[in-house]
Amino acid sequence: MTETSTSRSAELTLLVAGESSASRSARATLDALIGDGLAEASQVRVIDVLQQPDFALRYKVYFTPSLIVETSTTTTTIVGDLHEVDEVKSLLAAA
Amino acid sequence: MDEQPQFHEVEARSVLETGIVGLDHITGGGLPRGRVISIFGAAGAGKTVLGLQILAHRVSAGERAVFISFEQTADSVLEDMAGFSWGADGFAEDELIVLETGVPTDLHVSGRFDMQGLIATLLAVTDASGATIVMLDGLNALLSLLLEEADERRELLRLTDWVRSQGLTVLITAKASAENERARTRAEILDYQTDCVLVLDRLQTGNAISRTLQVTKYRGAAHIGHIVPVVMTNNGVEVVIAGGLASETLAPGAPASRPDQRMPTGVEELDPLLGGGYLVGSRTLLSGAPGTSKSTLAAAFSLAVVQDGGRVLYVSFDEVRAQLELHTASVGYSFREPLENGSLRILEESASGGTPEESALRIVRAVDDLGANAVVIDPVSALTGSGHPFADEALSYLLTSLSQRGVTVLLTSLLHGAATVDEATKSNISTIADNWIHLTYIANGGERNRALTIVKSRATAHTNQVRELVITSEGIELRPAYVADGDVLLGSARAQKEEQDRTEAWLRAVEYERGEAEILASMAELEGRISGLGNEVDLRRRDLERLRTTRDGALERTATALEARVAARRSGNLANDGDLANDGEGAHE
Repeated sequence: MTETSTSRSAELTLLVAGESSASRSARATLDALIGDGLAEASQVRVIDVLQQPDFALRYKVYFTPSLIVETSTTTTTIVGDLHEVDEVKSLLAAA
Repeated sequence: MDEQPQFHEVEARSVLETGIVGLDHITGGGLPRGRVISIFGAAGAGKTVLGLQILAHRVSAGERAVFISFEQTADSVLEDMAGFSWGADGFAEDELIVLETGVPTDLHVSGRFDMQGLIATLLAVTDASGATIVMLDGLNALLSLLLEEADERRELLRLTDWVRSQGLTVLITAKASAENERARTRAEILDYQTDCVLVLDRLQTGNAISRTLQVTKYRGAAHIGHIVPVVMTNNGVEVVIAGGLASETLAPGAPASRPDQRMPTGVEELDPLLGGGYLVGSRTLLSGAPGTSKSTLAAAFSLAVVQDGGRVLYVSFDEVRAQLELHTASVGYSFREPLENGSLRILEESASGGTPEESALRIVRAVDDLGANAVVIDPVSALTGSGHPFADEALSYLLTSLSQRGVTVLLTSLLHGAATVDEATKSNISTIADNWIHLTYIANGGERNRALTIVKSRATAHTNQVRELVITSEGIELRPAYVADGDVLLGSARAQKEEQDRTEAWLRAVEYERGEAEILASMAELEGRISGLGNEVDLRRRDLERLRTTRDGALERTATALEARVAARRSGNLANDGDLANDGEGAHE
């Protein structure tokens, strides 16, 4: 599918803040995407902005969790706990 | 009790000066350090400028500051700042850090989220720079992206708690006049969760708009909570309140150091009435109806100061410069030379064009620019009688500022008729003036004459007597008024009375003269008559002589003829009669 190929080529950065329920929910969704083959584990990183605040500054991320989807040409931000996996899939497809 | 911990805060309270004198005054020294301060206001109320100005001042005091805008680009923020005196030279990038944060337009939302990213950002930037003060401008743009009102409340609480735990001072701007329920609630939350709340607003009076500032909340500290006027100039936000000035030390050369120095009034006869002139650094009120020559007296003062080597700022509300020059020159006070050599400056103010607080600031600035040691405000009633809500504050600020500089002030004031004293007292003008000179017209015998009274002269022996003020082509002269039967007489009434008294004395003198002259005249007449009679005697004597002469001649001739007839008879004949007849006939022959 074209959608999945787009996602696979993208780098995913999940910015979370500590061990909140929203952080856990977002991590779980990200794991599910990797499990479904929609994202490559090597292209995914998870950053705790309270530990590494420079990432928040660099990406201008004020909301957590935030999933930054970077392709060679675009950067898309999905904000939220990503608890609706299907919704995230369609957003990734649009990105 | 609730108040107990707050009480401890008072003692441990640490403040940061904002550099805005009036704001530091009403907040009791400055904003609370290590706390969250909200700045509320409608669009264009000056929230961003106020915040930037405070940041700039902190930077100049050696702190580092961060400005994060959620609405503007960094470039436009820097550009805005460059328009102000405190921002014109710019700042080192590591001293005042300006971050633009534009909320991403391609932001997708899936599920719930919080604002800890902002906290992380603040952490990153303050850690890296050592900044101690942060401003979040337009935070509402960010907050409005949160899904629910409850989220906003929670996130603001998280933010303010975190800020306080870090010892950071954070300024948050927010719109006060909320356009919807959510924004109103946001304002309420901010108001509740922040430690200090400043509200910027506008107040319209006629065409003029006053900017205002109010400290509606200052947790744990006394503050002045009433609305104060604010003016936006190229110095940024200036709070027009006299209280902040009073605590400052007096400038060198202020009146305190020269308690007895006097300035000439410009009217020779007036100086001695005021103990030698206006006290340096004092305020004199010149009140009176239109045309009582207040401006002329002010002009006389201005020129006298200039001639003494001083500098004068003449603030004219009524007349434009050209009119004023013409008017004063016509009575012998020419501004041309001092205007040309820069020792006199005329500041044209319009009573209708702005607010009194703006005028007050412009005047103070002009005084500083000129280095003026005397100021004329003609008339001050343009400020006090303007009906603007902050007229009193503006005047008080102005006069305090001038006193601080040791400037001698002459205020003219339009006051009418019988209500004069009441009005002056009501408007407090009389209490703020050290000297009060009142000019009136006194109508008398179809004439209106100008009269000058010194109503009050603080700390100076002075006369309360009314003087007549006379304007000549050489300037103003004071003449003592004529007092008779408790009435003050001026002009021709005075002249008349004086004349009357003079006449009485003269008449007494004339009376003697007349007696003497009468006697002399009658004597002369008699002498004349004597000399006339003498002449008549002569005449008669001559008549007499002539008469006698004539009579003697006739008698002689008769006697001769008789002697001849006697002789002829003696010689003989009866024919003497015929002879006599022949003699008569012979006479015919």
